[in-house]
Amino acid sequence: MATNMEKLVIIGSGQAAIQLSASLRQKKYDGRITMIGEEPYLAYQRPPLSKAFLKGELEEGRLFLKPQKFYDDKDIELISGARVEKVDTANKAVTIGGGTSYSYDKLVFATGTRPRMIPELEGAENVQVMRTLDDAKALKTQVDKLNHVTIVGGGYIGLEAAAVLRKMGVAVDVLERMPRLLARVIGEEISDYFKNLHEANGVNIRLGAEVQAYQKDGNSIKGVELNDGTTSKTDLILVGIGVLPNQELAAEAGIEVGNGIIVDENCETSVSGIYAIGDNALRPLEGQSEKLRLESVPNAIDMAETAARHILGLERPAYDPPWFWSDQYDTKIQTVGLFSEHTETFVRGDVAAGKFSVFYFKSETFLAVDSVNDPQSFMACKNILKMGLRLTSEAVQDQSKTMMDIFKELKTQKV
Amino acid sequence: MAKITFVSNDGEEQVIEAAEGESVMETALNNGIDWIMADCGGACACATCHVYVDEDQLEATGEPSEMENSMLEFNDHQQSNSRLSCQIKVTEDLDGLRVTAPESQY
Repeated sequence: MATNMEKLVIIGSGQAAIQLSASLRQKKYDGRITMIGEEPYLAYQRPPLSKAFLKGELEEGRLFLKPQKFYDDKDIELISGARVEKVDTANKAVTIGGGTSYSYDKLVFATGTRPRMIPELEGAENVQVMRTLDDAKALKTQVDKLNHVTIVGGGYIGLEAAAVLRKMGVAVDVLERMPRLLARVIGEEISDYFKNLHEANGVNIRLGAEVQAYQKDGNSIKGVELNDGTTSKTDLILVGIGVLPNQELAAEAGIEVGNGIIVDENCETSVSGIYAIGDNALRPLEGQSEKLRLESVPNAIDMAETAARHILGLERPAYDPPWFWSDQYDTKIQTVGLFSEHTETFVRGDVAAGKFSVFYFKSETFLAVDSVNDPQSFMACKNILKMGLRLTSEAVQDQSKTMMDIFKELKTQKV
Repeated sequence: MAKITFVSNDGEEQVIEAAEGESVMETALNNGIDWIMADCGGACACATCHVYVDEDQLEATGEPSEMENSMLEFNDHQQSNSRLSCQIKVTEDLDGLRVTAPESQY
């Protein structure tokens, strides 16, 4: 069979899917590319949904990653509004609702994640999540009528939404079970900073909060009673308690899954010729003993690039340390590396002035940095991790030098 | 409307009618300029939409923020006319703007 007859099917039409398609075409892949997505849209950016889009600063048309013309020019077939019901690895075919089948030579799961729900809230009319453009639109159209929103979960999605809602004059309660905000993803110093930032902007942050009862009126939630006996009336509940990987289809097809579809360093699953990319994939990462599932745009891009290269028989891309960003009010947090195994932290900069970074070390090994309005430290550390330079805790503690100076010194030492 | 010329690494020029209000990065993405990546979608968080602006037009593009400068200063290919194209807003004044791909963007 001629190589130009190869058929590649991508399940999903989000950022990882379009990135893979674009990367393959850029590298002159001449097979057929078919993306099958459940949502009725061209691939779009999710990060602005809980930020600029919700605020009304970025209209819908500007969310799309590539215009329709790009799909036409690059011969990328997009089947939108279609749900894949079955993957048959023996006959190499996927079947969508309605019964249409698509055969493939290579298959990619770019299926993403879905928000976790609270069983008691399932089906209530004033309960929202924030994952899709439709979710964001639904919240946006109601904002004018809302006096009070209860956000369940003090993670990035909830806090970004809280920041926007406050700017729009809505009263906001954030309920977090853990004793601090963003506990899963950042260190204590940053958690404290965000708590103060949100409180200064009028958000009612409730830490260690367990919901005793949701007070219902018909199909609507009217109030939330907490374990400390307090009750607050509310107009809407936004649930932001994390996501679950869309991996059932892969599991049913006999592909290995854990907390995500398990892949190797080339993004290939346990079945040869089948890949998984983006936040549905459980991947090996440099310096990590366990495979991890990362929920971020840079991860989607990195995995798409990695899979594209493997499909074309090219070498893996250079190591890109995991990174992430979030905007809340006028604060930008940028983080690079993985901090979870850290044993020590060092703070540089001015916490009170809201311009500082927290450096995470495991004994003498530098793991990660969280930078608050401090892009120089973020960029320095991104390069340090990328280039494998050895940043010491001693260097970090010397505040007479800028991170640029420190980076330059490390770079010279290596040469 | 403003005409913007994008010059790729191998010298290929594309002239595009940019819509006012969007960023130079968005103009590029919407018109198939594939050497501008914009991984973060314009949040000034990734520095993958780096361009060189013709020196005499630099002033018209406005002052880069401290955030933008910090993102650029770690780039080996930074020059005095470096900008992140997501931070340049298209206005009528930018008609005739010429931006060139740095070596690192392809």
